[in-house]
Amino acid sequence: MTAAFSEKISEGHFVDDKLYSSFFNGVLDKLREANPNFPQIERTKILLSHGTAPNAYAIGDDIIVLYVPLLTNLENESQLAYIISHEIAHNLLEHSTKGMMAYSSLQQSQELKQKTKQIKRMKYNRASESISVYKDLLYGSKRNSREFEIEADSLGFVLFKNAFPTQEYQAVSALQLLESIDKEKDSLTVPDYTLLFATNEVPFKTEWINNEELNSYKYDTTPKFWTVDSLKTHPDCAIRAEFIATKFNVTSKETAKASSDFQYLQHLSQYNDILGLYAIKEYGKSLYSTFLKLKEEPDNPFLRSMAASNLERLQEAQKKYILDRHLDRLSPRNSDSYNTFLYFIREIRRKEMNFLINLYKA
Amino acid sequence: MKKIFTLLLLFLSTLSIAQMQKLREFSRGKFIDSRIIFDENSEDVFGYFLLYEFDRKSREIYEMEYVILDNNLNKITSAVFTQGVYKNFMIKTGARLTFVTKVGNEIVFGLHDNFEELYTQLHITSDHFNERYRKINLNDFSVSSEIVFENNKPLENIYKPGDNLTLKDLKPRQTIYPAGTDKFLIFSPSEYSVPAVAMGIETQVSKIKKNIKGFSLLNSNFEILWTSKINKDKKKAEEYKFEASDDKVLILQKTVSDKKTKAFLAYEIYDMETGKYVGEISQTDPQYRMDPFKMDLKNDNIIVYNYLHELKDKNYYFEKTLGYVRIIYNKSTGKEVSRDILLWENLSPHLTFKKKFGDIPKYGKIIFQDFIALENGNTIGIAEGYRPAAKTEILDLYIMEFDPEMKVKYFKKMPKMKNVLNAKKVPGKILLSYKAFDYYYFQKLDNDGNYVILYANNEKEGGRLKRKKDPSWVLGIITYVDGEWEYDKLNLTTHDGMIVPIRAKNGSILLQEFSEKNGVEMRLEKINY
Repeated sequence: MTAAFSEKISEGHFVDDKLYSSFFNGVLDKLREANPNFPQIERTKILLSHGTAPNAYAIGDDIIVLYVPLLTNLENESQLAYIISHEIAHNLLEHSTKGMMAYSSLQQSQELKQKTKQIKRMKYNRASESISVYKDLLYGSKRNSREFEIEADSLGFVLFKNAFPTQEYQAVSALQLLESIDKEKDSLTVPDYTLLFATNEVPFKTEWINNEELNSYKYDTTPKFWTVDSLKTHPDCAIRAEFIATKFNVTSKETAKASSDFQYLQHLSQYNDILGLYAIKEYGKSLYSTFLKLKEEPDNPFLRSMAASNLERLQEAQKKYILDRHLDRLSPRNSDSYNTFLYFIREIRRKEMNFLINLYKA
Repeated sequence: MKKIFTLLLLFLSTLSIAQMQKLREFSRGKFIDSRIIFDENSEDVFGYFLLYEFDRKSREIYEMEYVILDNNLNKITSAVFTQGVYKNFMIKTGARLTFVTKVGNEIVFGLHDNFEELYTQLHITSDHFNERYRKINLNDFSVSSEIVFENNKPLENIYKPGDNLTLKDLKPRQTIYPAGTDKFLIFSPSEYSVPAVAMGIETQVSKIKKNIKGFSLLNSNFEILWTSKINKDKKKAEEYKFEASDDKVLILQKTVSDKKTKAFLAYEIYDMETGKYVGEISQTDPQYRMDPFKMDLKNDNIIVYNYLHELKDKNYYFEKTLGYVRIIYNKSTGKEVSRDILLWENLSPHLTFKKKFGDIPKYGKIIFQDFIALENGNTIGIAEGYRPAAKTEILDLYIMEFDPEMKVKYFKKMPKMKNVLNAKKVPGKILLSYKAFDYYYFQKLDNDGNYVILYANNEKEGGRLKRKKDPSWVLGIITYVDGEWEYDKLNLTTHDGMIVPIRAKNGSILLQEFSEKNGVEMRLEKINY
């Protein structure tokens, strides 16, 4: 277990809740029973983690990690089951160990050592030569990662289909969903801000959200060396979905409705996500999610309490000049809504922030 | 106000594999220089420009890389370009940035080589050695070939590996200066021919400068818009240099130099649109001699702040200032609008002065670091104390607000731990010129007339060596918001590293934190107000 993983444990990133664990164990039981050729599935432990991204990963040692935001974005429990199957497949195929061994053999490579020494002795064109060698190594490394993903997709599908024989299309739909899972599904509009932020003491000022900052820039999207598609660790999910559908002849396109149990789990996860982001000190993201929910439930005491707590933490961070650690900066990669929110929090003055805190504490 | 910063972007390697790490190090550029890019009005930060030496292709030909960030530190663009850099076997030379400016939808940057030998020929046409320029289009992100100016004309250069640069080729280049929001100023080449055997560099430089007979304004395409003449009368010829400009006026500073002294004479105002001479700010006064301190261009006015000396003080003795004067001129006419004097005695009862030259008993003296002209006619003054003793000391910070007649309205002393310099009796003006004081800069917080003032303080107690070895630096943050003053501080010395403050967009500050545990962290923090 790496130091980084141990640190996440000690920082309280992981969730220990019977509702989630019994749900996950239900999926594991089905996978284990349907795949007697893979007895190692029995040893699998699923950890639920707070996080900022809808993601999942396998770290070896039969451990897989799911993030709470993933649960809130899936359409049904079958998609979740496929993702669990995919991650189990990584562990069964020992991808984590193979990856480490590949890096280790690179370090021992005499050829690479010789090449590096030769480059060091060069007076001219050293950077060009290094990039050429480094790029080859990187391509090789990323190619391995992509092959691992395809292997996990395939074995994961086999495990999943054995346990959920009528749901095979959900494996394809899960991958299709991942293609657009990062896209924002809700936003804060001007009327929302007026509703959420106006107080008697401080009327809402539209200039607080008059976010023109990024409009004065145009950003160069020309692919540079480090961002070409061939260097992505995960090939496009759309391509992976197509691969699974073709390889395993998945013809059905029947969507599945989420069960009431899963819907309840997802409903709770929306609130747990807000609390989780707060727990891992992502106060900006937690506050944004809180405001999105407050639009629908303006009187919800939990949400109002989370709004006040996040605002207080942000205010404390600002006083210590560490706000940037807890609140994202404006970026062209963010949605307009999120950028406007970030601009708003960074724009309001201390006394205005105090009024907002008091508004939500009341 | 310091507009130069140093920003190191270190790529943190996530792969702790020795060979991969070495390859990665060889693949990345060596940081050379950086600049803040201001918006066209110079009132806010547009972004940052970083320059790297990427690869050496031959002895004098390099691939250099620039990276442009926006004011939220997002990358706008980056590119590699081929650049010649003069090399000399005796002196270590390298390319440096001269300026980076935003002109409409382009970034124009100037490079020079730091071959700063007192090479007489340099001063015929240029401020630095091997000055050249490039433009980056922010629409299609293309970068131009190298542009140099010779005989007032832009010429293009393209380099390839193996090219050689010779001193002869590099000599007659000219300097251009960003002027207004989208123009450039260029002085005509001097009509003086330096003799082959030149005795005394300084006298040659003076002759060179006095024989510059004109200056031109260039548009963003480097085309001449107009040319104005200077030094028409050979007997009255002096040295000119660029002082300030905006979209209405361009101001040159005229100095006289002879064998003994170099002294400020006057400012000349020219209309930016036409190049027409508007008038001269001669800085004369019936009671005082004046030495320039600062100039601001604000709305319709030119605001000049000068040191005051006695009339009989022909040499502007550094430690014999009587105070300051603020003179406001109208841009369109060059006529004086107002003149307000601030003598040291006017700061009573806040400070007690023994003599008219500003000596404070058992303390030392104070010198103003900056003045801020407010929209309501008031002025903020930022001063620091110092003691020109056997070991010169930098003392406390003072914040003052003056009414439109330069009468003290607000006064506050910010005690600081004294900084002891290993230098004997250094005058305040010299300390200022060497940036020895702790004042950093002031900046607008927003467009509502609110400001922040930043300074540093080593709060560590104890002897000079101990304080130097184990400092406890803090950043003093003073805000002026809605007419009210607030005082805050931020520790710059952390338990395992340090924080370097860098100017950021209005209302914010960029903090570069170096830590043994976490490496380098860049944070864009909101000023707390």
